[in-house]
This record gives sequence, structure tokens and C-alpha cells, in this order.
Amino acid sequence: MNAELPFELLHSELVACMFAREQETSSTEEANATAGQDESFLETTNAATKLELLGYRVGYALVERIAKELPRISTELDCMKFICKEFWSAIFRKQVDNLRTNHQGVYVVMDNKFFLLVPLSAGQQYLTASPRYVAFSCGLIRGALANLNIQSVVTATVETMPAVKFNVHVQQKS
Amino acid sequence: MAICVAVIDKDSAPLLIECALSSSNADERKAEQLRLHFFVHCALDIVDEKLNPAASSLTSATRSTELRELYLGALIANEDYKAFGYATNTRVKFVLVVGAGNNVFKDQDVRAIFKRLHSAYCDAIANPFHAPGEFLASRALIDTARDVLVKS
Repeated sequence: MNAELPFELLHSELVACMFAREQETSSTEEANATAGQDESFLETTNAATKLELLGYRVGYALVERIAKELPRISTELDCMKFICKEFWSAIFRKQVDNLRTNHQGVYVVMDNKFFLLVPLSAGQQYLTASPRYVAFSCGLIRGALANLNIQSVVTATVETMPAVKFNVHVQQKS
Repeated sequence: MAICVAVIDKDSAPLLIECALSSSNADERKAEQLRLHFFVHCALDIVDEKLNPAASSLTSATRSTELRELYLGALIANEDYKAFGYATNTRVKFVLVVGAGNNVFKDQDVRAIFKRLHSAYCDAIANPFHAPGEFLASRALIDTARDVLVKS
């Protein structure tokens, strides 16, 4: 219990900070004036993208450490199973509830009690704010898969808090 | 005596190559370093072969048992050097080069060395100042590699 709390609190604060900064830059006049100049990528992208990029780098580094002890992962399906079991347990303290695939490179990972959303609500309240809280985790999964040599696009949908469905589209190498 | 430790990226780009060079003459050192780099490069071919066996060469039974481990065993040997390999799940390869006549290194020792290198590598990767694909500049990893070279 004590180990999860700092990350949960840090994550909520991170989301709040990113979105507050986005509000600021979009409403000040300076933003209009400097729009023509060459700004760094991080200044101009929106908060959800920034969160996802953060998650990407973290996932990339984490997966090396978590996959250290395991026997070789050979197929794509094995990779997804590793993400759903060991990776999920190491980070989100539980395993994924359901993994579905159409064997064409699309996987749906369902977690009925996503631990970053549990403290927010259990139902329909705050549903509109939920995407910002799963952006970091989408990046986490994308970074982990990238380090395992699988390029993918990860999105998440939340129908009822705290259940989250992550959709992983693997980019086929052609 | 271990002569060289190399860490290679999934795109076969070198991330770290530490050599224990024996001669003192600068030209000879360069030549020896070049030979070692070349030897590591050759060893990489064998690693690739082991990681992606052609479908026709192995039956599925042998393929599944051979590839469960991260340690790849002895790779190639020529009259001067012998190489051992280890490939992680993220396709990062570690190569250890020892002198050809060297029989001191048993399997267990080499496995232990690779474990230490892997842990040091995980720590180096977690450094936020390190961008993936760059040359590894982590002091801890370089010291671990030098330690392996010197201790034997």
C-alpha cells in the first residue's frame, strides 16, 4: 500500500499541472504573439500528448528491468501476455482482467479496476475528465512494446469508472 | 582473462565496447582494438542466427527448448579469441570475448558475468539523461565492465 501511494499522488499532480499549463498558454496573449516563432516541440503540443510521451519514455526504461528475469519472449502474443501479467502487476499491482485479440494485430486489454482511476469515482461521475488520467498509461504501454520491438498505437476508452479498455493496434511491418 | 565486453543495441549499433588491451605501443593497441571490434561484429552474426532460426533448419521442438534462455552460450572461436553471447528480451546483445586458450571460464561464471552486466545496463537505461540509441556513458556500467575485464 505504501509503495503505490506516492506514484498515484504524483500522477494526479502531473495531470493537473500539465492541464493547468495548457490552459495558461492557450489563454494568454503572448501565445498569439509568439505563435510565429520557432518554439520547441514541448511548448506547443497539448497536455495529453505530453503525458503520453512521458509514459513512453518511462515504459521504455521500465520494461528492460521487468523483463530481466524472464525467459525469452518469442511471439507477439507472448509479448502481450507479458504486458498483461508481469508488467501490469509490477506497475498497477494487479493483473489485467481480460485480453482479447483478433489475431490481426489488434488487442483489447480490459482492466475492471484500474488503480489510477479508483480514487476518482466508481460510476459515471467525472467520466469526461477520465481521458487525461489514462494518457500516461497509454504511453507506458506503447513504450514497453516499443522496447520489445513492437511498434503500436495505444488508445484507451473508459465507459464506466474505474474500468478501462486499452486498444493496442500493432503496426504491421510490411 | 576476459579481453573485451560489448553491449550492442537491437539495431546492431554498438552502445559500449570496453577492451583490456595488452600491448603498450599505441599503434599495436589500435590494431588490437580493431581486431576485437571485428571479432565482436562476427559474433553478432551468430547471435542473429540463434535469435532468428530459419524455419527449415530447426524443428519446432528443438527451437522452443533452445530459445527459452537468455544466455546464448559460446558463439564463435578463432585462433586468438572465443566469444560468449547473451541476448535480452528487448534484443540488446552482450558479447564477452576471452582468449582462445582460456579454459578458466566455465558456463556458470559467464552466466554470472552476464547477469551483472544486465543489471548494470538496466540501471544505465533508467537514467533520464540517456536517450535510447546513444552511446552508454554510465559510470556504473563502465566500471562493472572494467571490473569483469580486470578481475579474471
